[in-house]
Amino acid sequence: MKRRERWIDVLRKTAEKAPRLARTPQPSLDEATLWGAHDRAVESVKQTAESAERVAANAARHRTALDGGVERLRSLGGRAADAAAGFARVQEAFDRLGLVALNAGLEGAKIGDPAGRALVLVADELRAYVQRGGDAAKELSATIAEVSAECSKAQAQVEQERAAAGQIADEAARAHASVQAVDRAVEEIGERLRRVTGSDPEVARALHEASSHARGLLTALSTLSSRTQAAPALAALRPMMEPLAKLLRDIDGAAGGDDAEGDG
Amino acid sequence: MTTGSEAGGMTAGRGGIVVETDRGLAFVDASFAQRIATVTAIAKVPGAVAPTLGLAVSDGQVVTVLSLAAGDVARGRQAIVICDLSGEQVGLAGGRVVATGVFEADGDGVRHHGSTVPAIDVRALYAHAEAAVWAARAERRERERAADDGA
Repeated sequence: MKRRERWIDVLRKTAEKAPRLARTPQPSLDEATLWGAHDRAVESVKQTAESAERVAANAARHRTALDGGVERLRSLGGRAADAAAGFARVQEAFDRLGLVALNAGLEGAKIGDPAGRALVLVADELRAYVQRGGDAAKELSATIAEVSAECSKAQAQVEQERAAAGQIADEAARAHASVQAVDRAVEEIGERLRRVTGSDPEVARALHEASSHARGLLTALSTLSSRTQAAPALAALRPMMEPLAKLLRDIDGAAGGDDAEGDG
Repeated sequence: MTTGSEAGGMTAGRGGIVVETDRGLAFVDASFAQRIATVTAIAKVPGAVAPTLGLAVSDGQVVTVLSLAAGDVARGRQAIVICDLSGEQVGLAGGRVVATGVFEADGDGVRHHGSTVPAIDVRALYAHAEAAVWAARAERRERERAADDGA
């Protein structure tokens, strides 16, 4: 029998005798492994629940920020519409002013030279300014219309993002609810495991931990023993191994005595 | 819109309005043209035929509106040229006023931006409109009479 297997055998025997030490059903190594897996599941569920909560909180914050963005874009669109209406009034005023200038030119022509000449010239100049002002107002109005259209597009996009953030929040909430269900299921598994095996979870966890460490120790010792210069290294380890060996002997001896008591 | 007052001296030119229509540019002499006014609508009149468009209200007065265009003319809000024909107010629609002032005389018309713009004889246009209305009325009466004879 290889050294590693002998160590495992020792641990298994110790584990099998341990229940009798406490006068309560004690876990086998498989049960200990099961409890270890249960603990890992509990820890994973806890972490997943926390992650789901964080995702939900972030999605809610994102949605709130997007709500603010939508509101601002809506306000901007409203102001653009107001500005467009204002420019329409400016355009109308320029149109009327242009008509006034045309009529002034006509009146000047009717009056004739020289009295009407100044009126015709002023009317011409006024019409030139009206033309320029009207053109500028049209350009600004067109620019505002473009800005308004872009606002509408941006608003639609942000609203889509908002809807997506809402879906993420809903999904996160569903995930959190699922994780809570998993948590309850894992708890129930633990309860049933305790009832079926009758073992103490704390002992099982300690045994699982000890067996994990023992497996690691065995792997390391096997690696050392396969090397040619293993002897000095093993000698260095002996002071640390002695207490372990003694503890195992004590447990074994106590278990034997307990067996004897039980037998007696 | 371009500027008027293109004549070198005002005494050598003709005062008036240059209008752009679907037929091209046309000149309305200041002796006819009173003002350019905005009307809110041109109402249809039963029995009216081209070039009569209908009636409009300008400065509280009802004016007969004639069309300068060959094609259809919108009846909504627009600027029309109000002319005075011996006390009769007549509006000219279907054109866009492009200039007012004194223009260099060129034959029966004026020069505008290097082109000759023919003058519109508003009095003749109005007479033509009236004649068309009466002709249409006579034709309608003839049809009615023929229909009565047939019955």
